[in-house]
Amino acid sequence: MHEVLYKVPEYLLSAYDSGEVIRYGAILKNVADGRIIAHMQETGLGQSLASTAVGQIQGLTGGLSPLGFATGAVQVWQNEQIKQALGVLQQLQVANLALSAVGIGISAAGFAVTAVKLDRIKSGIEKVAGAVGRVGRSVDELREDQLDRELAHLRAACRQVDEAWLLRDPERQWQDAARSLHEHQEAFQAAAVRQRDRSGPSDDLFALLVEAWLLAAGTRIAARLSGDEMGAALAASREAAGSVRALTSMIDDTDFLPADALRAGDAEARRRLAVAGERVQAFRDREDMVETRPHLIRHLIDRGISGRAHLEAARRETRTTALLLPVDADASATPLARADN
Amino acid sequence: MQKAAGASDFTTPREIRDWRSFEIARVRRMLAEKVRVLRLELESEAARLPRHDLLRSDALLFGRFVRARVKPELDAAAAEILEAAGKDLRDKVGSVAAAEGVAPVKAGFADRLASIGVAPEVTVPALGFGFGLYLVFAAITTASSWLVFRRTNVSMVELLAGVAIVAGSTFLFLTSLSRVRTRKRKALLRRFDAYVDSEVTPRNPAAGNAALEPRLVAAIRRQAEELEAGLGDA
Repeated sequence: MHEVLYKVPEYLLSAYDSGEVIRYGAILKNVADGRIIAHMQETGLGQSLASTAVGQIQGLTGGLSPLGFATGAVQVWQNEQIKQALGVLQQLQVANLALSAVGIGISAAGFAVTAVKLDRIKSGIEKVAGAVGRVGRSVDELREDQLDRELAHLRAACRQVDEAWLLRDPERQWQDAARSLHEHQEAFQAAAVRQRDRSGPSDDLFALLVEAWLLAAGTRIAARLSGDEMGAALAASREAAGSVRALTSMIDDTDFLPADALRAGDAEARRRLAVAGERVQAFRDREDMVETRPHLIRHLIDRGISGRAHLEAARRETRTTALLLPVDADASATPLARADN
Repeated sequence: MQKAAGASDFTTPREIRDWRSFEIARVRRMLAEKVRVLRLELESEAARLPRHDLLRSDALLFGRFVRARVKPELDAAAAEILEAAGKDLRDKVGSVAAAEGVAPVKAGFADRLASIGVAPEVTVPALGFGFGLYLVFAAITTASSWLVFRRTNVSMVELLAGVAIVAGSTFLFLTSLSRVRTRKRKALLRRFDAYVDSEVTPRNPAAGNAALEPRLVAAIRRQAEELEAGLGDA
């Protein structure tokens, strides 16, 4: 029996509002005892809504920011119609993350949505490359070519994962795609670490490389899960959690400030720190999502749920933007919007 | 979000990382503010240096300022930071005392005199008295030279050169106090900036791991790592 909630039950929502239950990445936790109450899983509807919003945001901001669309997203989400449509994503304040490469739970995005995310990363890299001065131009052009190639390969691998759903015997394709995605994941991670060590974590290219890495890692896990390779999916998700710790978890607010920014006076320092804090929170949100993914996969394994069935249901879902998978009896006890899958 | 280190109520790595980020920002902001205020104090103190201190070496004056103001202030700030952060963190940092960071003191003119038993409090009035005598002597000799030079074989050019020398030296004597004061102020601020860079908040963190801020930040990071490890896989 696979219990799924299509909207957040009232009692859970009030516990969430009162702080008794917190969201950590894609899980809802009881603050008092730390128990996981429910897992969140994005759906095809959530991703396509996010994809539609991306178009609107691009129109609003006229540009692309590496860590999502902080300003633009806020404006779009304030639109009442979109708020209503976003449902669970809006209620649990993860709408911004639905736009990012990390997604919520296991990636359930179709290729059209993934392509939008890839385009965003690619145009961000082009923008960064365009801002580079003439000094060292040839080196940057070389790196840009390499990144272009790597992104093209990533796009092809993501397309293969999506295409496999249409095949009669998709397992082999998912396996091949997962292998290929693993290589791209490693390549983007190495490039991101290099960029972070060279220019610091506040560098825009670093944020874009992290996004590309997140997309590769998330799609690889989805490919493993689609092929019902539950053990491999769990291992890949744990590996990604370890990598994200090494990649971004050491970043602090002050890393986004120049060395002498805090000497400008306390009021000014507080203001600059607040701005820096917003950028760091974007990294933190992504870390949380990656670090909670193994819990969802472990939950599926423990309940004997097929990864493929889980993802298929999420991809085909058109009633809600995110599913809630209750873990204990309390969460599923509510008669509200409960369904068996 | 900002809980005391070591508190067992952290339930997610996110909370610990937010705590770490907040604490590091707090440490850096507090120390930066402290440094900014101390620099202003030093600047103001340097502008009001007693005359006899103008004869002392920059190193000695700066060492005195570090011992009297900088070190106690920074030690108090570090203690306050750690007090707010909790006992676990205090244990990790150990001694938080800011280094005195003053190079072996090179004696100034007044200190050399002091070493032979002449106190600066005597030296300065004595020098002032000497300058006064010089000015009186210069005024008398200039005026009398002007009156009698026609009866001597001294030419007008030589007289004017003499007057210019006396006028120049008088000007230098009269402005010497403010010039020395300005030079001292600049030298003291230069020393202060170098001290802050090497002992408090280094501009290049890799080069100054022994400075106060990197030590505090490293302790906070260690504490956060331990707290995260303590959370396990939950």
